[in-house]
Amino acid sequence: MARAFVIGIGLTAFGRHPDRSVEDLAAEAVVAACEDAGVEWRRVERFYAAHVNQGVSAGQRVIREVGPSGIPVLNIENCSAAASTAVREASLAVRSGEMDLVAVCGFEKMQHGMLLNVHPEDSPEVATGATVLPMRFALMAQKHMDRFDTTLEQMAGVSVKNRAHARHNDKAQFRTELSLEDVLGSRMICDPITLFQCSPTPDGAAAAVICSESFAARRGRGRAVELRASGLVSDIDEQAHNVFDLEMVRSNAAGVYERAGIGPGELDVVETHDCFSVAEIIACEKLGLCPEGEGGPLLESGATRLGGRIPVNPSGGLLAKGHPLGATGLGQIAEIVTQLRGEAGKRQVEGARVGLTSNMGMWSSRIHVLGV
Amino acid sequence: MTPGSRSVPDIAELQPGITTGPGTRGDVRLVGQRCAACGTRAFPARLRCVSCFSDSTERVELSRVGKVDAFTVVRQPPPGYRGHVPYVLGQVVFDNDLVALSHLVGKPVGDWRCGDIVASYAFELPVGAGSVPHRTFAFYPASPQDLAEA
Ligand SMILES: [Zn+2]
Repeated sequence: MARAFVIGIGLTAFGRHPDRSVEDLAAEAVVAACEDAGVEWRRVERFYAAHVNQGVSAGQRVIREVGPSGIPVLNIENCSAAASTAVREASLAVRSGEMDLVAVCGFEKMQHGMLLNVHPEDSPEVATGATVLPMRFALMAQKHMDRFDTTLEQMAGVSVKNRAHARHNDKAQFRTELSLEDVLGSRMICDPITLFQCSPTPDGAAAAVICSESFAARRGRGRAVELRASGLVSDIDEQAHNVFDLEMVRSNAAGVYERAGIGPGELDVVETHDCFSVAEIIACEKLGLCPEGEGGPLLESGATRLGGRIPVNPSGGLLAKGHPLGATGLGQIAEIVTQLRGEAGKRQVEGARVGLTSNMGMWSSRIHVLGV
Repeated sequence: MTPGSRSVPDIAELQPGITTGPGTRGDVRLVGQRCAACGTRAFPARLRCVSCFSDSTERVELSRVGKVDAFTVVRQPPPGYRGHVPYVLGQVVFDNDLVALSHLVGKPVGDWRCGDIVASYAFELPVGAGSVPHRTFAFYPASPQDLAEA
């Protein structure tokens, strides 16, 4: 297949935007991505809109605020991984030769309060209190502690690290540092997950402009970042059998590494889905950054901090940057693009040339490998 | 609250048919399915066998005793939940290799451990805006009698 490149990214600040509509936020991101790419909106051939709870055909409402267009609009809902799913579909459309230039935007205005595994109001899951999303990651955390002696401090350390990274990210919702004591001492939500080990739920939008190899060649590669390989694995079995694990990340990563022609040792920077602190620890194992069961010691060693062997979530991750469901995956991709362009300022991973995003949504894993 | 300290009266079931009717001690068996064609078991029952697509499935009463694989104490309940807070949810492995996501009750929330041996009992939960009592199931610490019967 031909190659696909990200040539523009745009992000709103992730945070509370009570006075702005979701269309306003998304349009800001799309316009910023087009300006960053140096392309006019009228050149864009297709628009992918990723969102979760923004109503029917929200992408068309967004485009109305961007500019005149007769182009196809595709709306993609795939829970928290909607945006990275849309980027995968967009990149495949470009790589297949069907499209030369497409735009993708993920956006969400969030309900306040904790993340829920949404079910109909009259479902047994609601009655039994099983829709509380941190519960699923709390079960994984308990099992990890039981099997591998992972400690509370190691899990809380993920929040400490990612908050420290976010100090240098002006798009992040939380930019103040937390101590281990702050994290461990915050309100218990689902044992052992405390409040500061849960990602916040801001509003936000993130967009990318993606082009074909020939388009990139015509205008010069410039700051383009290649979408080298991607993968989507949905582990329906896991959900049906009440088994909570991130095995889907492992199997997805294996395929993506093979298609990208690299191994985890060749990664310079990773953005992973730390919706809850333990998710980063387990994902580091599943992505092959360390052996199974050693995600806790990996965190403790400092290897995943900025300046470490393999920095994870330099943006602050979902824990600090925030988790606006439909926008989250593109928030990760925007960070890796920024890192690989060498434009990340004080949070720059020196010399980063290959990066990975690992995004999850209701028992599906989407992984992208990007490179320059 | 110990198993059998109260018997759950004849109230509406939260998920009809997901357990047997309560015994004298409040004991219930979870009801799953077995495929008549290939033998694959599932809990809870699904629309058809997902191994061979056969819709020729039969209901099967499962073993009551299981082991806690993982658990958490939920201290902030989601909207719509009307029961007691905090509550314990756990993954229980039972009848060899089936897994149930279930309330764990019958001892203080801080006393649960991975590996605890448990047994299935009827459990009453208030449901909906009217908090109408419904019968569902929960796992309690297994009693000597539960283990003897297993
Ligand atoms: Zn079958």
